[in-house]
Amino acid sequence: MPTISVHNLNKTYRSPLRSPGIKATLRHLVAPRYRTVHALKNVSFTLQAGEAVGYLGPNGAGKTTTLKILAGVLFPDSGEVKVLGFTPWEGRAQFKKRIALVMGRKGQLWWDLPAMDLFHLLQEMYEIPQSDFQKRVNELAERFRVGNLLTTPIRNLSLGERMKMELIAAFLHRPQVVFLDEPTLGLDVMAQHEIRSLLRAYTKEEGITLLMASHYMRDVEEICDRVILLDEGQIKYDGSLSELKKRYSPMREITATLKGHSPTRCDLPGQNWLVGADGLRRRWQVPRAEVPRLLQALTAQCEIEDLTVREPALEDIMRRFFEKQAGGENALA
Amino acid sequence: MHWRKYALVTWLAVREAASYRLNHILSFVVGAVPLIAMLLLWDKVVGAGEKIAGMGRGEVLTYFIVTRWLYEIAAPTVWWDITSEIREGDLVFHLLRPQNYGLYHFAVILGSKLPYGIIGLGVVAPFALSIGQSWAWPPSALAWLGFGASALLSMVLGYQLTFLLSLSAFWLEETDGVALIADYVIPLAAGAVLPLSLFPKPIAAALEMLPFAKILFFPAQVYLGMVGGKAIAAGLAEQAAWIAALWALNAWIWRMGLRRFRAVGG
Repeated sequence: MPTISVHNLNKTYRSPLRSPGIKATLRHLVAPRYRTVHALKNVSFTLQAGEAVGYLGPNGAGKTTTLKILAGVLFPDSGEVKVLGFTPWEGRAQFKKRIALVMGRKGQLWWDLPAMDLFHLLQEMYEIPQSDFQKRVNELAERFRVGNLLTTPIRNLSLGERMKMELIAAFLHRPQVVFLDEPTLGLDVMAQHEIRSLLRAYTKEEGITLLMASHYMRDVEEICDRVILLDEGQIKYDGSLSELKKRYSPMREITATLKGHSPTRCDLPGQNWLVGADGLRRRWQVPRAEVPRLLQALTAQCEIEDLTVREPALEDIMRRFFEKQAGGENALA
Repeated sequence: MHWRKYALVTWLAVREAASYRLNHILSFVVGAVPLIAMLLLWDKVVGAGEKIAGMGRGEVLTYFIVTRWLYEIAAPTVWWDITSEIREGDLVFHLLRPQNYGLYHFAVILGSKLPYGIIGLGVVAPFALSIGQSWAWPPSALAWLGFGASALLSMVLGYQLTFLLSLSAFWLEETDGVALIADYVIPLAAGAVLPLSLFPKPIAAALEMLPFAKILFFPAQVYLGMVGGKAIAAGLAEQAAWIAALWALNAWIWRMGLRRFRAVGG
């Protein structure tokens, strides 16, 4: 049985329509008009135990809504959801004790108190035995390298340190399923990198089933094996990251720096694919299959000082993917 | 029910309040300014040996000091933590955890008000001393006991109203209007501005039937020994009845609000 199964999930919101101007404002007071937003349309997927899945999509695609429904915080309009055999929104304590939701935009820490105080409170709430609790805090604090900050008030911590404390708070009760919503939002590159590697190592070791929404493709690339792409409330792709790249990035980028003073000295191959020239540097965007031939020709005909072959960043792939979607072309058909 | 977690919440709230102790003391001292004016006024209004609403000068002055202190620990207000959690969606964290939201915030409020109550005693004490000889103590052990019990029930009752007012955030984008009502109308209806017995009879009778009177006016009456054993018991029972009724109402409104929150997305 899958750890998470979602079947035909639907969710709509009503958001008030407000036009500017006094007349419109008065009209809204008397007879408010609403716009129905379809946040999720027949969303279905499953996650097996221990799987780490990235949940991607532009703003407003319905990612956070899905996570909140799966964590039992929101009701869906229709559809069937089972997480660890529970229907999340029934709100059973046994369910709550086995899951966690971490949101990059929000936190549960008390601003004026040290993290350790919240951890003690969570110990009481989740009924974690004292011996296990101490071991757990030490282990997580050491792993996240915040052992010396446990007694510092949260307001005196950096954003990255705060996020680490939020993660410790979420992992304290050993959840089997973890939902992450933009866990690296707003962090600097170093902190993002650190949080990512911690998350990857930790979830793998503990065999945690993970569903992570993020805007940062690096998050997904480093932590997840599989991605689900969501756009306007519908799933557009569900599969491995490598398959996604294969399908949506048929091109590779080759950059070569030529030796010598004049690039005209050699007969440059692949003129059709040439996309940039800057001094002695040349850039090509080449279909994947053509890469070996071009490289061969290049090294045979020109003296090369430096050569790189780059796969487009997942960001570019995503951009292309969603542009195609918006263009009305069903990229998966 | 696991009381330990709520006891811990109270303790954390005490510690959090302690990190703002200067702020608390200042707000208390500033809050005492109207009290000074009130005491000066009533000192002139009630002549020596005169009685007003059944109270002598000392009792009237004591009445205002006692209700002021009760107001600090039990006044119903719009609790910012609750309204912001509902509005900003941080309520999500509470829904994720195995806990009761109402009890959690009662524990928080208890923890934030207890230091207030103690600091409040420190601020009230000089006033008590300033009126010196005329300060009135509860006349009997029964009055002491009754006052203690009714002050405790006041806090619980005040909290039920605070919770009720704060839950309005489920439906209102802005709760300042509700807060205005709470901060200006409730003290009047509770007897903090004027002892209720000084209102015209029908109004006084109506006000005494409302829960607000049970928060300030009733405990102060008990303190001053103005009500006897039977009336104390009846008053405590009324407090308890209001608490039960509001608790049931709150449970219902919470469920409706939550349904709305969970439907619209938080």
